[in-house]
Amino acid sequence: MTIRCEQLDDLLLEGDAASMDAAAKHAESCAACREILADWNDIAVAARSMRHTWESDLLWGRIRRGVVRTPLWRIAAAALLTIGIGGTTWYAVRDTTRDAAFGQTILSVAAVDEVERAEAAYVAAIGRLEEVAEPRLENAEGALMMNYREKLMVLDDAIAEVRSGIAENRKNAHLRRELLAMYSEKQRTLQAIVREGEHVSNE
Amino acid sequence: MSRTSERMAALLVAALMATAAAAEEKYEERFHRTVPYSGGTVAIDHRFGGVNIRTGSRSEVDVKATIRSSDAAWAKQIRIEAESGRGGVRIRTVYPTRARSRDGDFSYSVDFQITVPASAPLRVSNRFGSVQAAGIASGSEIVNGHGSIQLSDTRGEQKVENSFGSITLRNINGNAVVRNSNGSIRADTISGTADVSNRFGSITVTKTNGRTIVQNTNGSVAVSEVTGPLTVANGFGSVSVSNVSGPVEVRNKNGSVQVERVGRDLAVTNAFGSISVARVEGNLQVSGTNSRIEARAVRGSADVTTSFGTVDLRDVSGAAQVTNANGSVKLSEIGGNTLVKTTFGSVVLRDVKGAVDVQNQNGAITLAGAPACKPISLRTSFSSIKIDLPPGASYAVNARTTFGRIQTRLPITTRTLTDEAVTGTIGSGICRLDLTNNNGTITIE
Repeated sequence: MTIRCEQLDDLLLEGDAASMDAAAKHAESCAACREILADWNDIAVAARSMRHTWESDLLWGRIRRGVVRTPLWRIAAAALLTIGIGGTTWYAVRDTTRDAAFGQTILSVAAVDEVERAEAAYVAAIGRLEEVAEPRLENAEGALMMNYREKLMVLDDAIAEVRSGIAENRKNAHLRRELLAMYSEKQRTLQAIVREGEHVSNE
Repeated sequence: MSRTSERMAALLVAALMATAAAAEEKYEERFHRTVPYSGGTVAIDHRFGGVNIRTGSRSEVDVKATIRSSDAAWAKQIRIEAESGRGGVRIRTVYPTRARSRDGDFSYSVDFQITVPASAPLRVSNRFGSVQAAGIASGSEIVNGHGSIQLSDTRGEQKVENSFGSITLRNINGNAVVRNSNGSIRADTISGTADVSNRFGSITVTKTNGRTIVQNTNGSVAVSEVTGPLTVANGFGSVSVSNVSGPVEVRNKNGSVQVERVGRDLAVTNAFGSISVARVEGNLQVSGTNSRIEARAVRGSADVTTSFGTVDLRDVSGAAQVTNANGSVKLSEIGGNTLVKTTFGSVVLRDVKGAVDVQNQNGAITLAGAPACKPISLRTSFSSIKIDLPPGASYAVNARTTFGRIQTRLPITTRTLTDEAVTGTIGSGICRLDLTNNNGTITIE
């Protein structure tokens, strides 16, 4: 295998026997790389000599002595503090999770206000669309318009049903989501009727 | 206002907001009861909240519920009944009657987590909440309103009904009846028969083994991988069908129909929508009104009727019969006899092996790659007729036109020869070749 000078760093970083052999072979014929390899080997030797180990069986003894020397009240205080912080954190996390789940189920007053504003906007938009769509629905005889008429009736029945639910359960998030989805569907249906009406009149 | 006053005001507003937020009551209560199960149906009757059902191996029904409300006093009156009786286990949510004086701004919800024996038949009725059930092994009936339904990994017959919410079914080992009013239906893998209907929402059905019936009113329908017979009816939506080994019938209006890979016969009816068909192993019958029709690779015969739309058939092994009005017809690679009737549209036939009968009015007829000897009759008016015969053709020619000419490049042994009539023979003159035109040319090549 032919090695180029710029590959030397990669071989040294690989560090396995084959890579080091290839680097050494290349260094035999390249003075600059020989120098780099020599530095590398010096560093490796120095690093090995710096490694230090010690007996750890004394460590526990020292800890035990330290603990024995520490007054009991301090240990108890530390334990209480740990339990206190842990407990508080656990409660906080639990409450946050509960609050999130609660918020998904029962809306806050602020969220209800926001939802009701969105509903009011839908109702206004639907009202404007109905003014345009209704004459087209009344005049059209085609099967599609009859189908749309039926769909609007189904939607209005469902909206009335959900609204009666909301009357007794105003902040129930599911009901609010349903109502918004129905308003959205009704808006889309009315838009389709207006589009169809334009298409028919253009024809 | 001084800077200090502004800071004070801001702090006050923040404090008031914090107080208001803190004032919103968040009451949450857990309910848990286990009731013994000794047979019968597990019936759940609920409103205002989700129902999540799982199965367990023990002969008991484990009911867990989370009651949430913005009014603790009222929430504490919510009663959850879970009783075991001769008919099975009954679970019910009873909300207190709301006193007029307390018609305030409080709300509530109850979410269930219920574990039932896998073998217990299940009946669920819910309103204003979702229903999820998995692992039911003895059939179920789920009726929901205003919430989604998810049912998976079941055995036995499943009946699912919803209004205003999606329905999702997965791995149903048995028959399934699915009804929805306004929401999508998605069913994946039903081993038995599937009866699926919707009114205003899409339907997607994949992998069914038994008879499959899909009906919709206003929404798209997509069905694939059906091993039994399939019937699809729709109006105001597209229909897409693929990979059905049984016979298929599709009825649609006001939407396109696309069918691919049918193992048996296929019948399609549509109005005001295109029809596209490919790879039918049996016979094909298509009826359209104002529909463009395209069919490829039909191993049986093809019978196609439409109006105000083009017809394009290619690679039909059997006979082809096409009736059109006000539309062109293009047929190629037809293995059997061909009959085409149309008006106000051209007819182009290519590579037809059987007898050919074309009756046209006000439209050209072109027959290229005609058979060497099969009865051929081409009739039209106010347009041209052109026929391209192969080498070795054997025909008794009878060509007539008025206000036009007859041209031929083939040697014809003639008995009558004028500009407007040619009778005679090509080759040994075994098969009839009748070409009739009014106000148009006839060309024989």
